Amino acid sequence: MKTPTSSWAPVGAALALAFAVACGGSDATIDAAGSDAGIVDAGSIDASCFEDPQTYLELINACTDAVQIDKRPVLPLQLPDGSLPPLPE
Amino acid sequence: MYMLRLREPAPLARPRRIAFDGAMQTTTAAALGVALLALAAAPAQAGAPTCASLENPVYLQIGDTQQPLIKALGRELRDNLTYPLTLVYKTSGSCTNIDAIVNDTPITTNLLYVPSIAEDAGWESTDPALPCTPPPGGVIPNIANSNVFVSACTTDALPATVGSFEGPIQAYVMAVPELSSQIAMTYAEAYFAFGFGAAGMAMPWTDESQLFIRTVTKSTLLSWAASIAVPADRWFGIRYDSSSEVVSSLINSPTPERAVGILGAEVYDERRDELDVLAYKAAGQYFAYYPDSSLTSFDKRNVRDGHYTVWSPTVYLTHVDGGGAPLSAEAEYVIDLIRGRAASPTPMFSPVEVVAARGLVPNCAMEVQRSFEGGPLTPYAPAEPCVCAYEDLVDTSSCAPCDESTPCATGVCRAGFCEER
Repeated sequence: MKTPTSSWAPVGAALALAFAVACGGSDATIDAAGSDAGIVDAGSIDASCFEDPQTYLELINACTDAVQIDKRPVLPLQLPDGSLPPLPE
Repeated sequence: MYMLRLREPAPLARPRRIAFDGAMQTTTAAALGVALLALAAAPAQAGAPTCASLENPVYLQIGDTQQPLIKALGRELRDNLTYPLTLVYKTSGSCTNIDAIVNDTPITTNLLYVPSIAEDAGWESTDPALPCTPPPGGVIPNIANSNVFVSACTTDALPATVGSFEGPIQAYVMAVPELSSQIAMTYAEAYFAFGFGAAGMAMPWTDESQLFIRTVTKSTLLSWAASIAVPADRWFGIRYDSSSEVVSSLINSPTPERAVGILGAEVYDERRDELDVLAYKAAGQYFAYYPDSSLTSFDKRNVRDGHYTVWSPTVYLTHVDGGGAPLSAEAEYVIDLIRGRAASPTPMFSPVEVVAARGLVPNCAMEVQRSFEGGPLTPYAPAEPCVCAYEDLVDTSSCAPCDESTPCATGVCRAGFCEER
């Protein structure tokens, strides 16, 4: 099993921000995965996939040759740790 | 007496879906509408056959969303010479249906069935069903259907006398106008767009007049609400009673870049020339995925393997013995067909094809499961998988074909393909 690392978040956020600025908010790219079985180019995003998924997080991040879209939007209300604030009253 | 604590609105406010020109149309059965329906049905029932006179009647109380499936399956079963059955059904709200089978509440009105080929060769599943007259005192349903988990209706466990069987899977999508450049939505974007409205600043979905959603009783909204942790009654946007209104608003949006709406996947599938689907990235997911393996396929592969998380199972309930086996052989047969399981005698049609043609994913084609609305997914291995047959019906199958003269090198020959088990 390949396990994802945790170092992608700041890199991904920076890339997403740079991409958002450069492209006027269009912050998604398609990765029509082929021979790499769904693993995005490690040079840009350090994420991986699971070959024998058993848990929920492994299942939703299992290796696949389906079209994948990488989207890391910058959301002003998202908390610094990446969590979401409560809904407004 | 077993008492259900209803969590959903009264039956009259439940969604009502009917098939119309190949697309799903939804209306709320308001009290006036129900009254008019009853008035309209009364004269017809005066000349209608008794339900008991129909061949091998099986009585169902179903959610309106499943009426297209039951009508299509009913047509096939009327002419299923190996085991002809007549599906006699009434539509009502999911929680009401659960209550009916738990408490043995008889159906006394509004029973419908579909004609056999001999009775009406030109009848199609988009045509109205025919009324029949219930026996005096009504009839207790053999099967009840819910399109939400039972736990969404009551905190009480089902009595041991009632068995619950999960049927086909219904997926839900975020759709945008074709002119929109958007291709994906994340969990956080959905949370801010629909949970905060304009204040959520989830660009470009900050115009609340361009967020097209559904009323609080609709399964489309309930499933999405559970998926993004925004209660159905707290969503921002324009609430519509019907899917067709969502479709129309998306197509005619003056600001397509800002428009987004929620739909059943089967509705979107029929409007792909006018709408685009957004890939969805769930919380904790690295990438966003379409329900299908690509924007152009119809295979629902990401629904089936867990990459696309927004879906709900349909649930079928029937009376069971102490071992959990259905008491009614006819009910068991029907439920097995709906679930894509082997049924004896073998039907003269493909039940998987009937289910797939209604935009549903057969349970036997799933590789993941969940136990409550919006709950986490776990691996699932159906006893009698139909992955190959399903993929052949909706897309292409890479499975080896098989028949009596061409056995499988590995796996089991089922419905013309070598399935894994």
